[in-house]
Amino acid sequence: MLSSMLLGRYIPGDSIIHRLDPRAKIVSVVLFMIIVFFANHWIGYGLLILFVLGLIRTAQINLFFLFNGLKILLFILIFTFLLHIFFTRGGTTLVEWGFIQIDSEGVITGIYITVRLVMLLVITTILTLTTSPIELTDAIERLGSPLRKVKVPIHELAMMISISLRFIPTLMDETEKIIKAQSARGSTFMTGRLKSRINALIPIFIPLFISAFKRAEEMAVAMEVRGYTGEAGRTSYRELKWQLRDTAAILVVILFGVLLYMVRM
Amino acid sequence: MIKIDNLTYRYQADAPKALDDISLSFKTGDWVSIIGHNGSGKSTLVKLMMGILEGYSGEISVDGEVLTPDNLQRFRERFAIVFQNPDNQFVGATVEDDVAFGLENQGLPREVMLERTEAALEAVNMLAYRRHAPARLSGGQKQRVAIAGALAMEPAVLILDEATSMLDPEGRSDMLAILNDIHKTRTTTLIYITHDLGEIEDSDYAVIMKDGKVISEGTIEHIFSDTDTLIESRLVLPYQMQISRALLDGGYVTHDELVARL
Amino acid sequence: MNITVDGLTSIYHAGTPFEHIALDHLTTTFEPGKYYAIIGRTGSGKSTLIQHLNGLILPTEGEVQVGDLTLGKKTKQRIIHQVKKHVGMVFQFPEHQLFDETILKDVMFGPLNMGFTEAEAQARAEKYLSLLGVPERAFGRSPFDLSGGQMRKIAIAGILAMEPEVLIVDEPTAGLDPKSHIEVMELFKRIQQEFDITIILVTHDMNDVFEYADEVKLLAAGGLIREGPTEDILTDELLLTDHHLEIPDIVKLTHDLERKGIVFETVPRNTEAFITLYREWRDARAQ
Repeated sequence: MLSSMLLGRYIPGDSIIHRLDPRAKIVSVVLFMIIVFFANHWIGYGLLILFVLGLIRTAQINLFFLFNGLKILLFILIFTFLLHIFFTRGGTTLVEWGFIQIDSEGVITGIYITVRLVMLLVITTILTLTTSPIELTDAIERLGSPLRKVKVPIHELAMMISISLRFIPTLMDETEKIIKAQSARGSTFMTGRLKSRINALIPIFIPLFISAFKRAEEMAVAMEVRGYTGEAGRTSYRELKWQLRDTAAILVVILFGVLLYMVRM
Repeated sequence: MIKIDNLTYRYQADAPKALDDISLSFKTGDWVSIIGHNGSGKSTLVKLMMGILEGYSGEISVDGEVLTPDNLQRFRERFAIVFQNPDNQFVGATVEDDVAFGLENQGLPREVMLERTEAALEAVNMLAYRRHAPARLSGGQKQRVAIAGALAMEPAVLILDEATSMLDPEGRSDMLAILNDIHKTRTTTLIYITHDLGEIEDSDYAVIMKDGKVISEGTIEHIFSDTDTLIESRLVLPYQMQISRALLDGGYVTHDELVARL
Repeated sequence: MNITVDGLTSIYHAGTPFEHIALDHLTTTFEPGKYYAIIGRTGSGKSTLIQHLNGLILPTEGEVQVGDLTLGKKTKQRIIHQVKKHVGMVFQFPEHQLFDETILKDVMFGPLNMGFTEAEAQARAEKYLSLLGVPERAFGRSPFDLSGGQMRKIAIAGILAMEPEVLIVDEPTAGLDPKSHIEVMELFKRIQQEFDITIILVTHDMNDVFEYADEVKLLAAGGLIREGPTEDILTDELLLTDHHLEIPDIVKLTHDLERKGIVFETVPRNTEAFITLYREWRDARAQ
């Protein structure tokens, strides 16, 4: 189940999108998040979809694989759609049945909002699929560096994110192992009444916490003996190089925003 | 030269002594093995040398300079250590990031880091994996990266604290081959902590610990000349020594020597 | 209890770019009361195979027959639960599964899940803790106060208390010091003989395989390469080297001595046996 989930996952590749500076990608995604709200009728939304499809293609991501991976969020989309269908009023009434009333306006808004949500999800997924976690944290640390002036510990935050990301696969493996070990001892947390299911989680969480704390402690010692004392006096092995293509990427997004603004009605 | 004088340590005031009046000295460039069963004090000794634990009596010095709270940071730069669990010491997101971590902490310029990282990965045969994430490496490979991370810092002393105990035999023999290589080509002093007498064949000097005390120390031949003491220290003799004890004079033999003498 | 594996295929992440065939049409059997070792280098499919034997993973294709229970692609939870009663599994680093407040309670966890009453579960827990040499006064202590080697024993007792007829052990000595290593290996041998159960050992330690196992199954790339008596497979130096496995110390020694003209009538399986055989050979020659 977890294996097909794509949220937050990185798949190495060599497309132009992969090679862009992570800062350019983050800035573009933020811009896109604003631009999405420019679209207000079908031409705008159509352009949005085309733009995103083009991006997926440029990033060399398998379309089927991408949507399959986002399936897990389907219920949120359906919920949003239904919410608008049932509660937005206006236009002609299409269905009236007891207290249920569906208006044409509701269907249209429902579709628009759902498309908008899908586009936001896809664009952020493209970001995480094409950018390694370390690049992301690097970019966050550098983009966030002005915040240091207002005493935001941006380096520490970036280090925390980086180490957490690094430990996610380890802890996922560990969780799977513990679940299997307890299941081999006859634990049945997948079936039974809610209370017994919750009880069955205890033998999984306790070992997991113990192990996570032990790992954290050992990691702290390992970092200390390798001379880590925080940001002061530290240099960086990784280098981010802003290139012409990064500026170009941002320009493309801005131009697309302008276009979308012009076709507004 | 590393000198340890009358080192005594307790984890708590009322606890038994974890280290009991230990005095040792190791020559620069030697491969020293410290062997003892669990709880013999070997890991405590390492933690004191690295300045991870405080509040001991006695003295630790390297090349005449005594470890004090003031020079701790500088002192640590002379030591590098590889721990037991490959997963819990991998800081970086990729192999090369991890190797560079210690160098970043020392504030070295980027060109130096690139050079040292590459050379260190080369030394442990992991250069081809430089962009790999730890999740894609075997335990043995992760430990080799840990060694590279240590080597890159160019320490005077490299400590391996049961660094092979979680590996499969293939991973273990790879590690030992790399250590042998380091021993031959560099002047780094190696301190190899283990509970396995079968892994110390290549060391120049060995120290046997039991209940916080040094029971025996000397060359491999010397250590194995008194197998009774080893057995009393809850250690298990390697097969060729068991056979030597039963069928020959009980002195130290390698596999080939055993074959020749039987 | 007989276990028959028939055309077992196991695929991870089927239908994604991460798809990986872990087992490929594997067929073999495990007879009751024998001591088996499954060997092969990392990634050969060993751990996938053993997880199929007690229903932790279900076949993508093929079947696993445990006694009169069948595990297939769509086997129901109820049957899988039954299988777990018969086939016990000691995972690598089993001490990581400890969770309860006291040693006794932790060991009782398995039997309770299998539907035994509190009293029955306690009786079993006490029996197996005593068998492993855990003193009664320690039963009420927290398992987390113990050393690594002792914690592992408690975890093993937790599986034994379920009284499986087949016991699978995955790298049971990983990370242990040599003394505890020997203790744990001796323990499984004793259990096999005393309770007449099947042991299936997965390990990289060829010395242990040679000393303890009756039969060996060698896996590579998800397929069964060879199976048969331990003496046949572990003395085949070429085969072991081909599969990146170590040659047992005693095998190396006896082969080197054979080249010198010292040949024993039987194959010594451990150091003590070697010493005895050598003494006999020496005495025979002296006469």
